[in-house]
Order: sequence, then C-alpha cells, then structure tokens
Amino acid sequence: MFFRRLNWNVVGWFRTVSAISYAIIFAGLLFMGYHWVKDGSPLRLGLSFTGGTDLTIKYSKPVTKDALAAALAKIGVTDARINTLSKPGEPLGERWTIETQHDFGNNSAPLNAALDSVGPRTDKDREASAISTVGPSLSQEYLLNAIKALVIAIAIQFLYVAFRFGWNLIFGWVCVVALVRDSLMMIGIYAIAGRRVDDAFLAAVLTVIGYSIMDTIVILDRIRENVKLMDGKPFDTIVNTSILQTMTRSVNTLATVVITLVALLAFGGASLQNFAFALLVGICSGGYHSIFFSAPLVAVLQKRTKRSSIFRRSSLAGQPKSVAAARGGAAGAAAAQRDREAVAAARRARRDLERQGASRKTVPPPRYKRSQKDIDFEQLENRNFGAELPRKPAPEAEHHAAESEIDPLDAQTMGLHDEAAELGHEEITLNLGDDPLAPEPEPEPKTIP
Amino acid sequence: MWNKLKRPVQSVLLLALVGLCVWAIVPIQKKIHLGLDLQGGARVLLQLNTTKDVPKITPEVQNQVELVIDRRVNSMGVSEPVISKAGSDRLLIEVPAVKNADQLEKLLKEVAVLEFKILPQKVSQRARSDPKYAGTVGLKPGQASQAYLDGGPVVYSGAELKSASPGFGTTGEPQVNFVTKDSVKFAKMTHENTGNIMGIFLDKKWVSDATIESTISDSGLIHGSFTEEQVTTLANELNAGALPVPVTIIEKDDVGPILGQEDLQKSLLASIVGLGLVLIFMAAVYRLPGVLADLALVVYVLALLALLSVAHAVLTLPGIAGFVLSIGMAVDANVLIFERIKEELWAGKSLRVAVRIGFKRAFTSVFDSHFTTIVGAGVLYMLGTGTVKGFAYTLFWGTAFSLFTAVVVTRFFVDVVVENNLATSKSAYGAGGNVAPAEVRI
Repeated sequence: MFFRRLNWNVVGWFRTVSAISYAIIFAGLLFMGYHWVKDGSPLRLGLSFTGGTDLTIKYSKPVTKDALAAALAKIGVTDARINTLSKPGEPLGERWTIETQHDFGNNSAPLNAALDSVGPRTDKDREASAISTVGPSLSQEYLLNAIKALVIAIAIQFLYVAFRFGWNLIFGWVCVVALVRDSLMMIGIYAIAGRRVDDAFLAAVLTVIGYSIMDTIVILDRIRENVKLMDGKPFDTIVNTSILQTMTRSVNTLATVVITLVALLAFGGASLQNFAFALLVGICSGGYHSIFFSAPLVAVLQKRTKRSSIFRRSSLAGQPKSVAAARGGAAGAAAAQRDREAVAAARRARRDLERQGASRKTVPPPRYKRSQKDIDFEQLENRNFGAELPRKPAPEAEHHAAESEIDPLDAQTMGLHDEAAELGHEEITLNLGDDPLAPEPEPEPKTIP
Repeated sequence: MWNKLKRPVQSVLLLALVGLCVWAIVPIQKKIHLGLDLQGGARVLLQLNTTKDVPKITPEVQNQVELVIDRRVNSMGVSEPVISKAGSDRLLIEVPAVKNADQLEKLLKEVAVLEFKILPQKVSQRARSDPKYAGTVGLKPGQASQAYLDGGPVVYSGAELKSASPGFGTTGEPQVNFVTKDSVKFAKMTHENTGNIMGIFLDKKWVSDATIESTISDSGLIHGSFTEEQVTTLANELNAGALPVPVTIIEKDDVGPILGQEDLQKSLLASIVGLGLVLIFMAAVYRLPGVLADLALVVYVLALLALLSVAHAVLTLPGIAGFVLSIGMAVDANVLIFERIKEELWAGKSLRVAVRIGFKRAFTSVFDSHFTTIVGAGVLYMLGTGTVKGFAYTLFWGTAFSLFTAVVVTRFFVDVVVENNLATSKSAYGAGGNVAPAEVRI
C-alpha cells in the first residue's frame, strides 16, 4: 500500500546504506579497541563467559557504595562493579547489584559475612536478594559452546538458503553477508553502549540470525518471481520493485516483534531488559540489512559479475585478437572483421530461429488444462543471472509486467509455469459459475490468436 | 457431502482443541510450574572430581553420588527437591526456597568419610563419656579427633558398605542393620577381631562403637543401648557418609522468593502489554482479517500454555521472554498472508480467489520464517547455558505451534467469513480503493 506508491530508488541507496552499517561496525571496533586498552578485554563479557559472582542484595537501611567496596576489599574482592538499584517508594541505597569475577560458589560464607557487616539485613531482605556464581571451568565451556552455536547456526542457515534458491550462490552469499553484518553490528552496538555480553546476548544473536534471514528470503523470493514476470526490464528495476512490493510486509512483521520487545523493555524486570535490548538491536539491524542491504546487494553482485567478465575480455586487449590479426597487415584485419560479421550474422539467425520456435510453442489451442510444454524457468532465470545480455522480451510478457500476477489465460497461452497455470485453471472454473462475490468479470483474454 | 460437513467438523475440532487447552491450564497457578528464578530457590550444578582411587567418573559413581546427595537434601526437610544428572560427571540440584543457603552448600560439598577402626577398651570408654575426646564438639573441619588418632588402623571403609537401615532386634530394642559389599574382606576382618570393639568414625569423628560378637560376612547388625532416633541417625550416616568422590559447586543461582515474586509480576505485566499491543496492531492494520488473526493468536497462547502444563515444563524468566517474543513472531505469518491477499485483491481477483491464492502463495515464506527461527532456537537449546535453555524451549515450541494457528486456524476463520458472505467489501480486507498501486519506475 503505502510503500508501493513511493518512488524510492532503494537500489541506488546501496552505497549510503552500506556506508552507514560500516560506520557503526567501525565505531564498534574503535570502542572495542579502546576497551581492550583500558580494561583488557574488547567486550564486557558477562558472568557466564568469565566466571564469577553476581549479587543482588537488599538492606533494611540505605548503605553507601564506599562502605560496600571497603567491606568487599577486606575479603580480597577489588574488581567489584557496584551499582544501586532503585525501586519507586524505597529510599535510594537499599538495593545494590554487585558483579565480581571472584568465584564464591563453593564457599559463600565469607562473602555473606562481609555483606552483613555493612548494614542490617533481615530475613525478608535476604528473601529479596539473589546470588549466582559460575566457576571458571564452566565459563570456558560456555564460551566455547557459544561460538560453536553461532557457527552451527550460520552454517545451517546458509545451507538452507542455498537449498531454497536451488543452490544459487549469489543468494546464499547475500544472506551470509547480511548475517555476518547483523552479528557485527550487534557486537559493535554492545561495545559502544558498554553493555555486558552474556548468554542473553548469545540467545539474541541466534534468534536474530533466524529471524532476519527469513526477511531476506522473502525479498529474494520476490525478486526471483519478478525476474519471470518482468522479463526484459533492467535488473535494477526488478530488484527495486521487489523491495517496494514487499516493504509493507517487512515493516509490519518488524513492527509486531518490535512492539513486544518494547513492552518487555519498558515493563520487564532488569534481567528481561537485558534480553529485550539485545533482541531489539538485533531485530532492527536485521530489518535494516534485509530491506536496504541484502536485496540491493543482489543487483550489485549481478552487475559486478557482468563487469568482471567484461574486464576479462578487455584485459586481452593488448594481445592480437585473432590469428589473422597476429599475421598483421590490413588484409589480416579485414579478414578478421569479415569473420566477426559472419559469426554475428550466424548468431542472429540462430536467435531468430530460436525465437520463432519459442513463439510457436506459446500458441496452444485455448483449453483450460495445465500446459505440458512448460518453459524451463530455472534455466531461463539462470541465463538472466549470467553475464549474457538481456533477451528481447516477448510482447505478452511486457504487457503484463506491471502486475504481480499474470492473467491466468495469458499464462496458459504463454505456457507459464505449473503453479500459475494450475491457479488459472481453478480460477476460471470458479468464475464460470455465478459467484456472487466476484466484483467484476475477469478481463477477457487479449492475446488468443 | 464432505463439502457440507467440512466446516461443522472443523468447528467442532477447533472448539474441542480450545476446550482441551483450557482444561489443561485451569487453575493456572497449579498447572504452570514456575522456575526457581520466579518462585525463589537455589539451583546448584555439582562437578564430580576424580581422585587417585576413582580415576574416572563412571555412571555407577555418578549414581552413587546422586543417591547420597538425594538423601542428604531430603534430610534438610525442604519441599520437592529435584536432583538430576547433567552430562556424565555432573549433578544438578534444584531446591525451592531454602532458608539457609549456606547450609545447603555445606551439605552438598561435604565428603563425609566413614571409617571402621578397632578400638582399645580405654579409648571406647573415654569417647563415650568425653565429647571433646570423641570430637563431636569443638573440632575444626578436616581435623582428626583424639579418639581417631588413638584408635587402631582403618579396617573397613564406608564406601565398602552397600546399605544400612534402622531396625529392631528380637527383644524389640533399636538396632542398625547393614549390608557389606566386600563380604570376604569383612568376614576375614571380623573373624580376626571377634570380641574386640569396632568404632565407627565419620570424618574422623567418633560416632559409635560396638563389640564384634561373631564373624560377619555380608550382612550384620549393630546393637547396643541405642534410642530409636540414634539408630535412624546412625543408619543415615552410614548410608550418606559414603560420598565416593569430592565435589565442587561450579554454578549456583540462588534467588530469594520475594525477588522472584517481583520479577514474575513485572514479566507478567510486560507479556500482557505486549500481547495487547500486538492484538491492537493487527486489528488496526488488517481490519477484519486482523481481528481473525487475533482470535487465532489467543488460541495460540492457550495452546502454548497447555503444552507447558502437559509437558510439565518449567516456566522461567527467560522462558517468559521467549513466550512474549514468539507472540510477536506468531502474527508474522498472518502479515505475510494478508499482504498477499491484498495484492491479489488489487490485481482484480475476486475475494475467494484472492484468499485462496494468498494462503497458498504465502505458505513458502511462512514456512521459511518458521524453519529458520526453529533452527536458531534448537541450536540454542542444545548448546546454551542453563538459563537460556528456557528461552530456547518456549521459542522453539512457540514457533512450531504458531505455524499451525497462524495458517490453519486463521484460514478456517477467514474461510468461514468469506463463504458466508459476512464481509464482502474489499476495504474490510485493507485493500480499499479499487485502484492498484502504480508501478514503481526508476
């Protein structure tokens, strides 16, 4: 609806879009370098990956941060990050969170004693407290598993996309490039925001990978469909139209997920907010990439393969082009020219023949049955993706290029693929009966010879 | 025939499904089990460490430790502790709302060593009368009592006992019955020491002693002037003492019940707000089909809750996050389908045809979206840490269920509306204005 009317040249924005995502990733790298120099680790890894102890504690009376730090320093904890948590209706300084890389899992008695020495804690306060610890051996295992999970997930998605698009490598790579960018962008934003990368972050990355790839698949699917329907149009136009056609859908699916995440971020507790933030960053970056980056990338890659084949030819420019030219002289050049013309004429003749053959195929008697003589569209499409020049469109195809769905009768006359023919078949049967719902009769077939 | 019966049969099936779901989840407080992070409690992961004597943690060793820990935790008197194996050399202990977490920690780690020693008469007498000498008071952990040092060599160890149980002798006096593992060794030892006093030491503390009256091979009994309570304690110590390997706590999550309650309330509020916003969004953007999708979404929420109840799954805080996220994702399938229907309507198709093509054409995309999300959730479930497993679980099943509700259930609702001509205007489907959008040119 709304987006279809826009005259956006999304493909033309590719450089800007790519530059923005590069800028965020680069800024993230800068921050990671800064953290590396300052804190010794590029990212602030969470409890599950570093090991240590996380505490949420409550006192009956407000205590100061310095008092807590002093008490912790007495039992040898100097790396603690101490933050206050406030709850409406409570005085500040009663609730605290403490993060340290010391492992108190096996013996928490000294820790509890130190905390008790700071201020009064009743049984009820203890019930509003929490402690979690992860031992160093386990945290290494978790980190390893996290990396393993990422690699496995990306590999499965790559295989699935490749399978989905008939092992078409351009589509497969586009998806993987987008996934890698999503992951880098999430890491970059986490580095900039200085947030902890913990198991919730890993969960978010894996979810985002699965989610944003489907967004990409939907757009690529539409491109593939439009390559058939808009045969003969410049590839850029096909891609651009596909993006705009699917944009409402992309934006709406994003919106439903973003809505729930915003609810989690606004109303969920501290631990859910961590989840929601990571997912929100990832889902937004995934949406941005699949709409504005992946689909235009298909057009860019297609152009690049074309250009590279041209380069390959022009790199031979310095060398003699034929045996005749190598022999030298005007006679040799003329002979070469004649040869070329002869070859071109032969090629033209062959193409004309082919076209005639094709048009003969497309004129079956008008009956409502699935056409058996389908054109192999996989083959046609692959041809279009190769470096060849676009074929001259058949007049029928051009006529209906604007519609997302070809008129079923035309589809039959043109011998279109199974699906459309089948649908056309159903539809025509339906409309022959008096369907009260049909708002208007289907348009008359125009091109029956 | 079938065409006439199709819709009524489908309606009955759908109603039955909803009824079953509601039956499974009412009353919700009893049927949905909350995780320890929401109801408060401790979750401890124990690592079994190898020793010189036990170079490899075999399944038998793991079973033995599980048994011992189970007895110890149960003796604490907490309600419903859950002890399960994790991997080949770990144990997971989940205890709801313990008052004294330090005590639990101590209880789990203690490698109580049970030993039998032959004691001289003097030592036995002094140990009975002097608790300090026996080591039952004022002994630091790891320190040996004087009675232990004064006793003879260790003749048998607790690890070599199969079981012990309290019982009563022929005259009705309380006694402890026990079964040995190495009957030959025990028989030889008791034969050599008949008439001597054998003392029982737990962690080098004197616990009890008794005179060996005859040769004992595989089963024996300890009797004396015991009270019933003493007999039970002694039997428990004989059983529980034999933790074959030392253990360490490698992960611990202990959440106080009040904190858990607060988290539960916040996350419930967030889920209800999230669900409400999605319902409003769908109805506002897609009009009639949006409302139908909302109905299907309610069926989805019921079905997922029913699954959690029937599968005895535990709803954790990350699990709620997965649930809320899956609500947002569940309607994605409907967005795909309804956008397609709109396009078909704009292309001049009749309503019935547009609905049929819309569902058919959008299905591949819907399947893609579910498949890719399920892969992510599945990998996370297999390799994630303990806490995010709950997130992966609800996301996995939520996505699988929404494939059914968003496609089949919504389709049913839309078909019923279209077939009965309940709404024939295109604008009810969001495709108002009969003008197809202009083609985009660049």
